[in-house]
Amino acid sequence: MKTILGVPWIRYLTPLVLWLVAAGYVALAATYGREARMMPLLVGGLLVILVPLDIVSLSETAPGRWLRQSINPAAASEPEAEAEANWRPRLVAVAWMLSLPLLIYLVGVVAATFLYVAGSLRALGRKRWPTAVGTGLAAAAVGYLLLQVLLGIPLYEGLLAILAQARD
Amino acid sequence: MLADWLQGFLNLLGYQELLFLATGIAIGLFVGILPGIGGTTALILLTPLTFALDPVQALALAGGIMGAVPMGGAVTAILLNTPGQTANAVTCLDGYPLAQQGKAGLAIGAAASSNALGGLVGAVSILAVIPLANELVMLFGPPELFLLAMIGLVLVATSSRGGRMFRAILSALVGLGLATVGYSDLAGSERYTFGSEYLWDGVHLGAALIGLFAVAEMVHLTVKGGSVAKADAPVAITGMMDGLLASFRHWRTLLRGSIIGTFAGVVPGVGGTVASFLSYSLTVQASKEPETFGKGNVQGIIATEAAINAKDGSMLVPTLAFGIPGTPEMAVFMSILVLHGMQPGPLMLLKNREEIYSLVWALTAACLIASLIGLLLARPLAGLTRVDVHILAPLIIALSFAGSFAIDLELGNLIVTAAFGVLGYLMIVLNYPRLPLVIGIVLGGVAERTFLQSMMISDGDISIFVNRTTCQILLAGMAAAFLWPRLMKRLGGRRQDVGLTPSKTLGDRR
Repeated sequence: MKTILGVPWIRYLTPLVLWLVAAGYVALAATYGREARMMPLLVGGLLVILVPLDIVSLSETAPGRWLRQSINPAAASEPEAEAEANWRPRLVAVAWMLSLPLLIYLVGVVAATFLYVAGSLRALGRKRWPTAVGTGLAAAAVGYLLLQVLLGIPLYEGLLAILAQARD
Repeated sequence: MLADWLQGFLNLLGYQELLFLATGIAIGLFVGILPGIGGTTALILLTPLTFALDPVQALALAGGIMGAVPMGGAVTAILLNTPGQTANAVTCLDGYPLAQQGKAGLAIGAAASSNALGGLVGAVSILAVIPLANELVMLFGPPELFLLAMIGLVLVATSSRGGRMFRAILSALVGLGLATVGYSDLAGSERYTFGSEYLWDGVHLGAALIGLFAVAEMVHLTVKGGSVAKADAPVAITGMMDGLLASFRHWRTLLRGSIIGTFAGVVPGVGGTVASFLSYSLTVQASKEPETFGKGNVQGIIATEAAINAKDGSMLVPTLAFGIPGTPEMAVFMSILVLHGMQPGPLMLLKNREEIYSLVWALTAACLIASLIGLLLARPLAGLTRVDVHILAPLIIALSFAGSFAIDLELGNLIVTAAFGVLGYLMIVLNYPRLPLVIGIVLGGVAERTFLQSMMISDGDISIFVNRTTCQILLAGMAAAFLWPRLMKRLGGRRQDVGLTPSKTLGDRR
């Protein structure tokens, strides 16, 4: 992986994105009224000043080493990041998690629970189909019974069901 | 007063009242375990049902729920790093590492006893606090509340371990920034909503918390594989009795947590999260081995759980005596009182004393019984920490998203939970502490509101924060919070030089 100032470039990515977001946050705050912008300017301004220190403390430079020793020792050890340099399984796990809210939006809470649990057990957990489907069905049934039947919370039925009802 | 106290107890002993109390405890434990669905949601759902009940029955039901929710939340916080309610996020810090080490029994035992004892201290303190409530509430105006929020933020930074103070500050600042999203009553305008109606109410704390802790932790476990408890952790669930006794052994921690919880409950707007965090931070600072916190120190659980439960009793004071609900849960509870013809305010303390004492008894009984049930369930529930994570993670993630939606039936909550799930996972991997972000969101609203109110009161004169006596005491407290750990570190360093303190090298993650 390409390095910048002695460190893989990807380690700079998160604080850099945070700095850009903070800068945008301050720029938007400046457009608000006097009372409304007071707190955002203070908080965002501090972030805009402090995040670069975090970025510099990641680097293998003299100022970076000095910052790590004096104010930001945590930058020296990102054990989880270093232990697993391969980001692919992480991206897969995050993308898989993000599929659930999308499923809920499309097919509703109960059906999405079934599909997500069964799919996860089969695809990520390498479980047999009967185990995956059985656990998925049980999870969906328990969720429905607890939330809708017992607590009386009307669960979302999904966009597809709403569209089907509208067509009828 | 003693006669009213006894009559309140006797009123609760009818079989119907006991039945409603038991129902409340069962519901409280149940919703406490479900991520996101805290006592507030349960009370909202049950408010219409209480209409048919007499006042004592309704208060028994409500007291049962409010008293039992923290224990349910503590169990999942310890076993799965999934706090049932916001305040239990602090319980995760030491409870989850203990579960990973195979000491879930010890952690749940400590949570149960500190729950029960903290609840008892809170209930007793309400007796002492009610006559003084007027003076106490009057001491805290907007400038004092602003400084209290600042103390919370200073404590966030100073109690972060593993050389992460700087990153804790960044994390808290991000939380403060997120707290400015939505419509501001005082500023009279919306901010950072980008045209979304959902964001007018701000970032939903419950949905954010579910993402930041439950979802992020499960994604992290999915990548790592295995189970919650590490493979080399002991298999048997032992140490529950040790956990139970730990609260007595660390009675100073218990008492400190209970006192902090009691005072935090009396001050409107402070709430359980701040109480639990203040208690935890002060316990870390007072400890001779601060480096052991965050890695499975049982005192961390005792401090947190005692504060949460003591607060449950005392937060009734501003609600009942002044009609000022300090938390959303209390606001819903107030609607139950009004529904039953009781008007919260100074007169209520004279007119409805028996009902008030029945409620305090119900809360106390709920704390004790819920702790007992929590202990009984510890063994089967601790088995969850040994389940293959590829089975557990999808179940918890699915339940978390369902719970996030169920909080207020908003699809926007799903996006917030997912976004905070990703953010939380990044924070785990990149070694940024997550709790300061939650504290920033919680305190951000209070800090901004009270700061603007103070400026309005003083006509823009900033000296309002130093001229008042309570402010001066709080400023001294803030200075102490900042300087104390440095002083202890220096003293500790000297001790270590002469071989008195063992050095710890384990990393922590919160």
